[in-house]
Amino acid sequence: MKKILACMLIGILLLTLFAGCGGGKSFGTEDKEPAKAEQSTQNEETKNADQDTGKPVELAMTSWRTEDAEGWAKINEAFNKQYPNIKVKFNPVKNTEYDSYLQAALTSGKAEEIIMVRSFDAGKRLYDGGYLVELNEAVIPNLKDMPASTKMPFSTEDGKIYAAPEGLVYLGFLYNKKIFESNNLNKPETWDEFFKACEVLKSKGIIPIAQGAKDSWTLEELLSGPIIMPFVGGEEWKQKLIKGETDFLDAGFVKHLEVINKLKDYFPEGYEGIGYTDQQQMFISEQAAIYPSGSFETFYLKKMNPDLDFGCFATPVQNKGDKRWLNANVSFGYGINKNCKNMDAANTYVNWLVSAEGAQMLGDTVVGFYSRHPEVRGVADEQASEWLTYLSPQSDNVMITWTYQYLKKQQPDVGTLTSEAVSKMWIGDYTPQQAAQHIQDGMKWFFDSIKK
Amino acid sequence: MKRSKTSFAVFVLPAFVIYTIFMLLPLISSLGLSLFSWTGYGEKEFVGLSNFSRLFTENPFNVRFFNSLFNNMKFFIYTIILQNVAALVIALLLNKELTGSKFFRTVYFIPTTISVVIVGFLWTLIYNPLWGPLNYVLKSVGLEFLAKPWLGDPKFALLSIAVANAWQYVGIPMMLFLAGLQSISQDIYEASDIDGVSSWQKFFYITLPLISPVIFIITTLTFVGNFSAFEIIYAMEGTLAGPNYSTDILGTFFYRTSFGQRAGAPPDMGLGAAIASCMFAIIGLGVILWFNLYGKRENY
Repeated sequence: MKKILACMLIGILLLTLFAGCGGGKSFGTEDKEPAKAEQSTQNEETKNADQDTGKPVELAMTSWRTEDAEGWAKINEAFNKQYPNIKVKFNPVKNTEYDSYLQAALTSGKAEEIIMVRSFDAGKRLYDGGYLVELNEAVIPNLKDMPASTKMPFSTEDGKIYAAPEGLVYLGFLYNKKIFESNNLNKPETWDEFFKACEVLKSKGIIPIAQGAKDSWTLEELLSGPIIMPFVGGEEWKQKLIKGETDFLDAGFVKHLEVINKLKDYFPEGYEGIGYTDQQQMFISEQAAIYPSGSFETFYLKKMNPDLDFGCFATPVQNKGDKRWLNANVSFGYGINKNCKNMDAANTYVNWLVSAEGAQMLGDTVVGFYSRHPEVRGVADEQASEWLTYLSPQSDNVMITWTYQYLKKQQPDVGTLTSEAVSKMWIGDYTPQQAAQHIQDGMKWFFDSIKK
Repeated sequence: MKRSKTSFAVFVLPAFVIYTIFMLLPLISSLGLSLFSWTGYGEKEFVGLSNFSRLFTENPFNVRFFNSLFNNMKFFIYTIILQNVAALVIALLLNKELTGSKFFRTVYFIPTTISVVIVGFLWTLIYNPLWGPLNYVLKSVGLEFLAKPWLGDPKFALLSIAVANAWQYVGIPMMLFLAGLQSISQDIYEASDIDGVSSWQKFFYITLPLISPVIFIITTLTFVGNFSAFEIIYAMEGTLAGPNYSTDILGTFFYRTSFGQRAGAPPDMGLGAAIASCMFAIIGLGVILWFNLYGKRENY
C-alpha cells in the first residue's frame, strides 16, 4: 500500500515537473503569437493614421547611459513639441549589461526602434549581424553637416554608414584653478611650460599630476590618445597609419612615448598601485593639480566637490604657435533597427537629433557630451563649454583617438599593447624605442592584413 | 520495504533531470563551442582544434595561458599557507576552550558571509598607497621601507590578493578543522599524557593523523576553488589582471578572452571555451590524481 502511495506521489511530482517545463513553452508561444499579430495590425493602423489623421506614433530608444535619463527626457520633450505625432521613450540599460541585453533583444526581435550604437567595432558587429539599416543623406539629410572624421567610427570599410554620429567627449587635461593661481601658473601652451609648471608644483609639495598605473585603460585612452597629437601631426597621421603608410617606429610616435615616460616623475608616490577612482579622488580632494582626463568628468567632479574650481586645456604643443589639436573620443551614434515598423518616424527622429538644434540640445542637457555639428560652439555648462574654445574656426583640428579604428579587430589589440608598453616603460623594462617596437611586433597581424 | 532498482531510479530521476538541464548540457555545449570561431553575434564557424593550437602555440595566447597557469599554482600555494594553515592554527586555539572561544569562532567566520565585491573594495582601500591604512601604519612605526604600492607591484600583487582572499574564507576550513578536532577522543590524549608525550609530539603523532581526512577534503576544495577562481581578482585588479598580468589566473584570462574587455578586441568565444575546457581538464585530472594518491589511504 505504502509503495503504491509513494509511487503515486512521485508520479504526481514528475508530472508537475514536466508539465511545468512543457507548459511554459506552449504558454509562451501562445502568448507571443496573438501579441505579434496585434502589434502588426496596430502598426499598420498607426502608419496609416500617421499619414492620414496624425495619430501618434510611439518610438523607443535604448542606450547604456542610464545616468543621462533626465537629459534625454528633456531632449525628447523638445522633439515632441515640434513633432507632436511622434513620441519617443528613452529605455536605458546598465552599461555593463547593455551588450548582452542588445544581443538577446535583437535576436529575439524585441529590441527598440532606435539603438544607441557604440563607435567602431563594437557597433559594427551589430551592422554585420544584419540588425541595423544603412543610413545615408537620402533618409537622414542632416548627415551632410557632420564632418567625415566623425562618420568614420560608424562606417564600414567601403563607406556605408550604419549610425548617425553624435555623442563625443573631448580629452586633454583638467587643472585646479586655485592651485595654479596661488603658484602663479598659467595654462601651459607648450610641453616646456607644462613640465616647468609640474616642477614648480613638485617643489611646493603638491602632487603635480593625478595619474596612476593600476588601471591600464587610462594609459591608452587618457594619456596616449591626447599626447600623441602634436608629435605625429594629428588626424592625418592616423589616416596614414590605417592605410599602412606609416607605422609605430615613426619618430613622432616614439617621441610621444618619451613624453609619457617623462610624466611619471610627477605622479604621486606609489603610483603603480593607484587606479582610476584614486585619480579622480586626488583631483576632487584638491591634492593634485593636473588631471589627464576629459569632458565626461565634468558633471561628476562638480557633484562630488561643488567648491572645486577647475578648468581644462587641450594637449600642449611642441613649439609656440604650432597647430593645437583637440582629442575627441566618439562615444555613440544612433542606429535604426531593421525590424522597425515606423521607418519614417524613426528617420525623422534621428534626423532631428543630428540637426543643429538637436546637437545643441545634447550639449546643453547631457553635460560633457557634444555633437560635432559645426554650429555647436558653446554649451550651457561653463566648464563643459571651455573645451569648445579649443576648436579652430574651421573646426579642422579634432583628432579622434587613434587606437580604435581597424586596430582592435583581433587580439592582441593596439590598446592592450600600448598599455603593456607604457607600463613596462615606467617600470624601466623598456626604453621608449623598445616600447614602440613592442607595439609594432604585436600589430604584425594588422600590417599583414593590409598587404593582402 | 525492499529496495528495488526501479524505485532507486525514480528517486534519482528528478535530481538527474535538473542536473542534466542546468549543469551537464551547458558543460557539454561549452566543450563543443571550443571547436568554433564565434564573437557572440552572428554565425558560428567550425574551426576544429585550431583554438587549442592557437592557445598552446601562438603568441601572445600561449604566453598568457602559461603565465596564468603558473600564477594559478602560486595562488593555490599562497592560499594553502595563508588560509588553511592559518585556519588550522586558529582551530587549535579555539579548541582549547579559552574564554571567548565561541565569540571568536563567530568573528572569524563573519568575513565569509560578506560579498566578494565588498571584500575586494575594502582591501583595495587598505592597500591604497595614498591613503590606505596599511602603508600609513608601516610609515608611522618606522617601517617606511616596507611601504609598497601593494596592488601595483608585480612582485606583491598576487600575494596581496591572496591575503585578502584568505582573510575572507579562513572561516570555512577553520570550522571543518574544529569539527575534526572535536571528534578526536580525549582518551587518546589522556593515554599519551600517562606515557609522557610532549605537546609537539601530541600534535604531530595524534592530532594531525586523526584530522588527515579533513585536511584531504579541504585541500581538494581549495584546489577546485582556486583553479576556477575569478571574482576576487576581477574585483581588485579588473579584467586585465595587472600589473603586467602578474595576477592573471585562468579565470580572468578566460573572462577577458570570452567576453572581451573595455574598448578592446571583440570577444573570442571559441578561444574562451578552449580555455574553459583546459580549466575543466586541469581540475578534473587534478582531483582524480589527488584522490588516487591520498583518497584511498584511510588507514592512519
